[in-house]
Amino acid sequence: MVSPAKTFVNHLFMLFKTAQIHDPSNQAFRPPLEHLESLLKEMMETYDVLRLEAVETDLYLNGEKIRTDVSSFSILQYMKEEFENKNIGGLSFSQIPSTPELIDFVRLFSRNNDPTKIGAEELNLLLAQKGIHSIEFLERLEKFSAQGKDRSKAVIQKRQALKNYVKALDVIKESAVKIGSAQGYETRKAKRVVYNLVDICIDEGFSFLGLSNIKNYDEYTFNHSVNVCVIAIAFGKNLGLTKKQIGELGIAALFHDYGKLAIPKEILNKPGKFDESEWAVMKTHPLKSVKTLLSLKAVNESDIKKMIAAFEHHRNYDCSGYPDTGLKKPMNFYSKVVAIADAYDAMTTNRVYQRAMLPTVALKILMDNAGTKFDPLLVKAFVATVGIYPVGTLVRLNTQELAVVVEVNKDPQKLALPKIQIVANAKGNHIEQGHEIDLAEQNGSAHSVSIEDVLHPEDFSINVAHYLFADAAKKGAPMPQTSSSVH
Amino acid sequence: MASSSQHIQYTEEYFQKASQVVRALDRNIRSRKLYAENNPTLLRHHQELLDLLTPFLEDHHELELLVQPFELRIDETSVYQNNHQQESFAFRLFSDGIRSLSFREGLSSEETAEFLSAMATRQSDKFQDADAVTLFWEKEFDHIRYTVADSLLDEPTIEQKSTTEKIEEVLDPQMSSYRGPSTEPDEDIYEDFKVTLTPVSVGALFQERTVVSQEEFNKIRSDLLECEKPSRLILDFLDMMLAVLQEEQDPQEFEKTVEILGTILENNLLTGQIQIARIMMEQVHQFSSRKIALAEKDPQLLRKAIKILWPASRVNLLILSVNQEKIGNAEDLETLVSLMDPQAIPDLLKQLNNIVDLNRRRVVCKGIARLHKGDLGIFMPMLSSKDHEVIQTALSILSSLKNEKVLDLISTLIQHQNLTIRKESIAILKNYKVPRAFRILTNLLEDSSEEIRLLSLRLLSTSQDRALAKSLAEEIQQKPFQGKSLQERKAYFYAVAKIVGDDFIPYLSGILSSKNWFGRQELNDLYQCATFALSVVGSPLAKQTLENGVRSRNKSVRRYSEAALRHMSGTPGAPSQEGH
Repeated sequence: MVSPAKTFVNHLFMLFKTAQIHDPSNQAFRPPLEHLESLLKEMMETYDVLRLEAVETDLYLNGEKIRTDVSSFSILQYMKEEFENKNIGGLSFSQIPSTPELIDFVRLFSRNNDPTKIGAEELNLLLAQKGIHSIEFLERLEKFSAQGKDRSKAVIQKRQALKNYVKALDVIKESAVKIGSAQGYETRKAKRVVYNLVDICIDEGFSFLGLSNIKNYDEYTFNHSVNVCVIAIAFGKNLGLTKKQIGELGIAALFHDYGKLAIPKEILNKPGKFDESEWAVMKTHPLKSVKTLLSLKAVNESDIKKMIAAFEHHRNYDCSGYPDTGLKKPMNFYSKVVAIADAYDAMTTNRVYQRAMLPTVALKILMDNAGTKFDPLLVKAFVATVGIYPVGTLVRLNTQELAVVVEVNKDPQKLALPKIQIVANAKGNHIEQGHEIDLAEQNGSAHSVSIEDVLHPEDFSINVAHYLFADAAKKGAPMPQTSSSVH
Repeated sequence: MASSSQHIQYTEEYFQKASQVVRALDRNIRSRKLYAENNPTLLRHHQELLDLLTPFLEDHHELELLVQPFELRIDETSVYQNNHQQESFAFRLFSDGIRSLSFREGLSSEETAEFLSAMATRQSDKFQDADAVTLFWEKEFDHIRYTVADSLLDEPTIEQKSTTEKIEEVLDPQMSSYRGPSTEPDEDIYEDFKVTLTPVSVGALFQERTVVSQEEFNKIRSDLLECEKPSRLILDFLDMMLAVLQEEQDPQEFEKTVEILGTILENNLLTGQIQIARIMMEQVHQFSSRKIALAEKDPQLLRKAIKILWPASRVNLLILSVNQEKIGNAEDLETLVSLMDPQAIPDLLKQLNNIVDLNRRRVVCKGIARLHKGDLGIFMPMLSSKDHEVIQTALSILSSLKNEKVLDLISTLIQHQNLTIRKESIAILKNYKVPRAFRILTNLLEDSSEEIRLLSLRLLSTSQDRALAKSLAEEIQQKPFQGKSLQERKAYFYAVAKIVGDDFIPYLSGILSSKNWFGRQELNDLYQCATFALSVVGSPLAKQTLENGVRSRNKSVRRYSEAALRHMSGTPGAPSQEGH
């Protein structure tokens, strides 16, 4: 279901777009006008005022950030740009405007596009001259004083995310122990941590995908399960899934390799290629996952999705994978998402028999196998989610400094221009709290920085996760006494 | 949204009303554990709760409760207390980590029901794979807020390290050394994936392939919606389950897995999801076409699986589910029944009269007919029942079968004292074009009941037996024939006309041109019978004969001929177009 905030923005978008083609008095203008009027009536039964504001890179409705995803990005981007063109911070509706008032407002809005000559004050004067008092233009804000992004809040969120990440690792490890004694794992705990992670991801306090850069060579299977969960959650959020769907996806991803816990370690950790018999054993892990999950006997819709994802994630989009059921049936949606997240994390993690691939190479492999191993549309959406230089990628700049990507640019046209943090100078000396540079906001100056190459972190003894979460891990970082959350 | 509780005046009246609301909440949670969803008591309790809660929230905007181990408080005042662990919903909330619970103005009946359902589930969940926090989270309440003390996160890890220690460990800057072979992935991995490693600007490489259009996004969304459909989900699940069963080597494990399928089947029956239950059974029956590891050792594998799926308790559940208001279409129900365990038929038959809706009962009977697979003895007890409804139900099933042994079963029923049962038994004979059935019907032409005789004649008219037709025609010409009712006489003419067609026309034509047969009334009746028979023959010659009749000097002949022509054209009351 689309949120009311997004619906409101969509309706405004339609209205303004239509106004670019037709005068508001034109018949073609009537439907978007009526839709917006109807929506305003409905929303103002709940809210006294509707304030739509652009702050930094986000839009807020009544102080709450509007979630972006693959589908809504362009609309939200358009609204922000329109506000910039008018030199305003947003709009406010304090009453339901009449139809003539709304028409006048739209005319005013669409005809004033020179930010050097206009602003909120001037536009409000024009509104007052028309006798419109139900709508107001808002001044531009660089930062919310009491709301919005707060650096310490971001640190607290990172801390919470780390705690949940570590707990998720624990849940998977406990499951491994309990398999041995034929008892089930604690689904309840798994749900709690996954749901917490979903809430943190949705809140967009920091680059959630950075969590998937936590790599532990000694505990690959457990680490991998949690990383696939993190990636799947971020991916699901970007696809516009509901909170519950993202939660189910996260659970499915967390347990997608559950059956591997029953594979003999000498096969699982073999430092070389599998022979035929070892490969045959390895290929049984999807079935083993299902059987173990089935033994718990709790079989609701969420459990079914989890089992299906565990069963299908190696079947391949074209059904050429395993297990081979003999049926050419399309993979379940959740299975396809998990398959991509699984492959990406596996490729970008050091394994017992091979070094990790660079993230850019892993993405290219996904794209080259779109349509055979992976769903082509989902691969495309995945690249849009993680960016061309995913969070945690170590890059060399044209200045010969080393930097870690800390945030992906949400604009699909600017995925190659992420935000980076310097981690080593040109001489290779590590810098603990290097400055950040947003490559998209350099305005083409002569001294602008660009990415020259992508590197393996271990060649430079760099743990990227350390840099991404240093502020949350250091002593003295702001954090609550105990873990608590408000819903 | 900020809490508005700091603006509330805490009066004695306020606390009293709040207590009433909380008691009503408690009552509702208990009711939900006892009663099914549409139970009148449950609905009444729910309405009583809304009658208290809604005005409270309108007046005070919010009801915020602080959760203690066995108590709920507002500010410092207790509004609910129950020290019994199993019963206290405060205890349930507290033990799951909830420390405050707030209901806000705008809370709807539906959202309230979702909350109560979550609490009732929590109280009764035997699997314990969810708690209040996860259940509330899944509901995504708009007007209910809660805070959670997530002590789970503060527990030591499995290695007995604190969370902080573990975090420091995973973020250790020294944890950067790759301790395996220092080789790049094998060249053939890249070859397998058809990747060429050349130093190209990745920006340009990826740019055109990363912007998801609205149309593409819509396709992704519709794929998701498709996969969320219960019927799709169950198919995916069944495919997976059957793959598990295919590979299973251990008979006990095989049975356990089938039992799990049985649990799901049961859940679907409970919720009236007959279509899904049908899909499940169809997939199970596909065992016979799949190569199953155990099948060579045990050829009865499929039968065993179906037996596991249909114990007596589940058969009873099926009958209960059939009585639910909405259960989908008749075809699903009939097919589902036909795919059950044949040994469940006696249980099904016993329960049939518990099916309230007669149409659904008939559908189930049809399903049983498909299921029985030749063992007719199971119907014997029903046929000798004193309850006529039971007998009728059995006949309904038997009428769908094509088995000559059915004639043995119904032979005594044909002479039953109840006329309806007699007729229904006789009606079954229409499915049997065999000499025995024919003999029974011709004997019934002498039956003392006119209704029986009429039914037999109608059924015999489909026999195409010309010898019979001749015999009937001879009877028509006998004097005793005139003693039969007009309806019966017409039935004779009907039967002969149906069997011999045009060959009957000369005789019928002779009747229409006759003047002095028997008495006037008898003559008129004959005219009526003859013209009726001509309309039944329906051929061009019959039509011509009727048109001649319309031109007859005899008024009765004209009248009946016109009526017969109208009958042939299918327009009763329409004046004849020809013959004037």
